[in-house]
Amino acid sequence: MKSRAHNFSGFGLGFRPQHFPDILGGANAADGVDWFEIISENFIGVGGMPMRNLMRVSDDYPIVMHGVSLSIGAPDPLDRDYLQGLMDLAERLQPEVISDHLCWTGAHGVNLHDLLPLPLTAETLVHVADRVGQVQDFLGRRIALENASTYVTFTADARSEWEFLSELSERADCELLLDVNNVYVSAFNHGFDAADYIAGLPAKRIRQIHLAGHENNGDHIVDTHDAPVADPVWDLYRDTIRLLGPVPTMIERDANIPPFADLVAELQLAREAAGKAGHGAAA
Amino acid sequence: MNTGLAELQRLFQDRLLAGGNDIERHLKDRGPFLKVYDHAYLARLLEVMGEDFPAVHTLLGDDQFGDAAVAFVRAHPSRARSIRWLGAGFSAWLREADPWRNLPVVADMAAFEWALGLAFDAPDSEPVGMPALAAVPAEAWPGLRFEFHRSLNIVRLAVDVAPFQRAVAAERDPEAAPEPLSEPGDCGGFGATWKACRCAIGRYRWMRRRGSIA
Ligand SMILES: [Fe+2]
Repeated sequence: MKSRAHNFSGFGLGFRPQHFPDILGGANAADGVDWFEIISENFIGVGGMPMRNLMRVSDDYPIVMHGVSLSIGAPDPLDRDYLQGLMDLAERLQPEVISDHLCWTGAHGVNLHDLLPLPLTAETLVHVADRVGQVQDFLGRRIALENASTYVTFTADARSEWEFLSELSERADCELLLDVNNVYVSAFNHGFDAADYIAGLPAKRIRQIHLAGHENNGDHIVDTHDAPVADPVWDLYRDTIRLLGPVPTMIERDANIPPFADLVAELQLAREAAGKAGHGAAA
Repeated sequence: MNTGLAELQRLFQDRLLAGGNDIERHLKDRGPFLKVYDHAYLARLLEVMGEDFPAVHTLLGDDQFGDAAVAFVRAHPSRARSIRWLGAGFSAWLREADPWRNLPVVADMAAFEWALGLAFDAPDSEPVGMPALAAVPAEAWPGLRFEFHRSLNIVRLAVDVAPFQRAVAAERDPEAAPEPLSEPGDCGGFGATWKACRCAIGRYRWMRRRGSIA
C-alpha cells in the first residue's frame, strides 16, 4: 500500500502506453503533469510490460481510474467480475477517483462498446441510483459519474440531464466527473444553455473535470476526443472554474494522439485558463 | 403510458445490431443525430479489428478486410467486457464462413496475430528457473507438476504466416505471400524468455507435432 503526502489537485493527462518513455524517460520529463488517468479496462486482468509500466508511473504520480464498461444504466445485473477487477486494480493503484459514465453500454449480455444515452425518467433515476449504491457498497468508496456526450434525447425525458445528475448524486451519494466538452457538445446538439447545465449541478460533488476536442459537423457536434480543445470549450471551462473554484482538470485524448510534449503544452493552457478564472495556482 | 427503460434499451440495441427503426418514435424529433450512434458502433469495432489484425488487413486489403470484419461482428456481437477481446473468435469464424473458409491462410494469420497479442499482455506468472528446480530434492521429483507460463499460446497452422506478419509488424512490404507448410505445425507464442524480456511483439517458436516444446 502506498501512502501519499500530497492532495489530489492540479492538472492531469491520460496515461497512454506510447507516452511511457516520455513520462519516466528522464528527470522532469513529465513536468507540468500533476497526475495521470488510466482507462481501467486496459489494466484489469492484464500483466506484462503494460502493467509494470503503470506501476512505475503510479509510484511517482497520483492515479485516477476511469472506466467505460460499468454500464450503470443497463438492465442486466452488475458484472461482479468486473467490479472485482476494479477493486483489485484499485488496491494496487490506490486511485484518487474511480469514475465511469452516466450511460449504458449494452443489454442482455451484449456489449455495444459505446456510451449510450438513457431516458431521463423517474424509473431510470431509481434504477441507476440503486446500482450506484451497489457499486459503492462493493468497492467500499464513492464513485464519480461523468456526463457523456449525447446525440439523441427521449420523448419520455421528464427532467434535464443536470437535474437528473443532481438528484442522482444526492440520492446515491456519489460524486460527479464533469466533462466540460461533453456539456458543450450536448448543449449544441440539443439546444440548451451549457451555462445552465453547469450552474445546475451540485458544485461540492464535482470531483474532477475533463476537457477534450470535438468535431463540428454544422448541425451537430461529435465528441471525438481526437483534437485539441476547441475555443468555446475553453471559454466554458473558464466560466466553470470561476463558478466552482479549483477542480482537478485533465485533457483527454483518445485518438490521433500527439507527442507527449504537445499534450503537456495544451495542459498548460488549462492551467492558464484556470489562472484567468482566478484559480490557477490553487487548482 | 411511457415505454419503460428496459424496452427503450431493447429497441436501441436492436437499432445498432440489426438496423431496426422502432426506437425512432421514442426519440425527440425522431432523433436526427441517431446516425452518430449508428456510425460509431461499426466504426469502433472496425478500428479495433484493424488494430488487432494488421497482417490480415494487409493480406486482404481494405475492402475485403472490412467485409470480413463487419460480417464477423454482425454474426458475433461482442459479449466481452473489454473491446480487447472483440477479435477472440475471428480466426475460428474465418475457418467456417464463406468465402474465407476456402483460404486457410486468412484464418491462420488471424490465429497467429491473436496469439501474439495474447503473449503481449497475458497476466504475469513467475517462471521456474534452474535454481528453483535444483533446490527440489530428488525424492520430490515424481510429484512435480509443471504448468505453462500464462502467456504461452499454441496455435495450429497450415500456412507459414510468420514472415508476412513480421514484415507487416515492422511496416515493411511483405516480400511474398505466405506459403503453405509441408505439414501443419504447432506454433507456441510466449510473452517472454520466461522471465526478463517479454517484448513488444512476443516471441514464438515452432514446436513438434505433439505439442512438446522443440
Ligand atoms: Fe470525458
